[in-house]
Amino acid sequence: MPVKAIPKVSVARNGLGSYIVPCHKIRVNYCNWGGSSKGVREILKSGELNQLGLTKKSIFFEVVKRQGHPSVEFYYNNDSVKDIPVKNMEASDVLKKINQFSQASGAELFKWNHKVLSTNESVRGIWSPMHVAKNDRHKI
Amino acid sequence: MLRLSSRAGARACANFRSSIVKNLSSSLYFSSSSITKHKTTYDNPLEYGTYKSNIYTHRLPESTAEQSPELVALHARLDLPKAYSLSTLSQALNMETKSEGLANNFGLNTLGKSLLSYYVAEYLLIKYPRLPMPIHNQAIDAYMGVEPLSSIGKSWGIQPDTNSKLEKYLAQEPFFMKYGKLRYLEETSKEEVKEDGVIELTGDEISQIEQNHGRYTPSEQDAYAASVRSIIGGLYTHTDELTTKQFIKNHILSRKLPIEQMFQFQQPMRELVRLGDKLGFKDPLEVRLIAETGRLSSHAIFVTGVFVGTEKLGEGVGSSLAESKTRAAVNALMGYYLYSPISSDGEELKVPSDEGYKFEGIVGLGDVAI
Repeated sequence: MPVKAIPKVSVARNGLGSYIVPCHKIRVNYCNWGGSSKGVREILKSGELNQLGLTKKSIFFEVVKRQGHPSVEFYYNNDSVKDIPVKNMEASDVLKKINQFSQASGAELFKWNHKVLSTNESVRGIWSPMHVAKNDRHKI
Repeated sequence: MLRLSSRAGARACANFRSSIVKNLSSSLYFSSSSITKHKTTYDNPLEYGTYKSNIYTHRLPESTAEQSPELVALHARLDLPKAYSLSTLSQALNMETKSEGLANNFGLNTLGKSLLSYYVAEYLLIKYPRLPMPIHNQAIDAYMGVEPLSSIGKSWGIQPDTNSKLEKYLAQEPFFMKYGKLRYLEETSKEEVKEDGVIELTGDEISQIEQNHGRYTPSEQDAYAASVRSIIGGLYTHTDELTTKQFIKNHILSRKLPIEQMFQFQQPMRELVRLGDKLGFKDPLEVRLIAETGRLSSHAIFVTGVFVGTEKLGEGVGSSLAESKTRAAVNALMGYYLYSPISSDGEELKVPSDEGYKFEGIVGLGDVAI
């Protein structure tokens, strides 16, 4: 065999060709009695959560009644789960949280201290001092 | 779809058998697949109307499928057309071979695999006509092997059904919830206590590893890949080829193929010389030094080029003459193998299944032998 193949897996580029929302499930945990769940109970009663569910059809909403402070769990396709506490929050703030985290990628937040973050190679290439015309090269 | 596929298999077998048992009208049966242990009986092998399946399979009623929120969400997430019924989508997620008699994804999987391999092979052959055979095969695997397809399945948010009947009962989970999940585990293996990071292999799996040269693919990965193929197969059955092709293009061919990392040359210089012979270069291949930092410098760098007459085929940078020469040869070979033709108006080439396709590319000359 003149050349052998090294097994590789193609790299996903979500958004190119098709876009899949990374968040696939939202679980809203609330308490029917506690005061800290007041905001969550409001969005459930007023039908605002229903309205939100209709606009986000690709997400499976689950509402769980349980004891304790309310929280919203977001399940992402990279197997990560974000449990966001929403205790004592106003109804509008709870909705804001749901909107915010349903658009997240599920990856850990990180700071990127470089100008470009890309899976592609530089189009320009890297400047090389060895390819400068011979007369213009740096001489030691 | 299972019914369809077993018929297609039966047809092929019937053609084969009819030559032997032409006048035999008594009831015969044979296994259409070793996995499903599915048996088809018939009165007359040449009359397809008399074919009967030994397993009574039925499709999930659409009204039950609609109840599963995960299924509805998956349908919306993939932006599937309305014609794609939820029951088919649920069937695409069903890997079970012996259960309540629901149709599984065996047939859809086969159909999806055929569609995928056609469109992926067509795309690669037109885009990289000079790829050596081993690289071409590996590139197809990079697009539609078990690993990429299972990661696509995961990214689609498909969830496996891992809870046993008891756990479902205790969690008061409605029965229709499982129809939106990937069902590949048998009830007994769901009940097993699992240790994190430890995988217990069955005798079948151990023999499979030996067959696959020591490579192990978990059954979950296989199931995810099968479900993705089946969803594609289901799209074809409900809509048309064009929609399916667009779906494959959007979800599978839109991924980045790290093809330049897939080459492993044994003897690049020798291969380049052989390639030169095959292409009939008039001038001999020459390796020339283009630049160097000075070989007595503390970290010497050499830039070497491979030339044919006045044409430079490739260039390499290395910290020794031998290294830079090898890199130059690899660069030249990659330039040849990864050549991608474009159409006369500078666009990407059309593939044979496109409308108004006209052959404009090239046909590779085949691999070189060393």
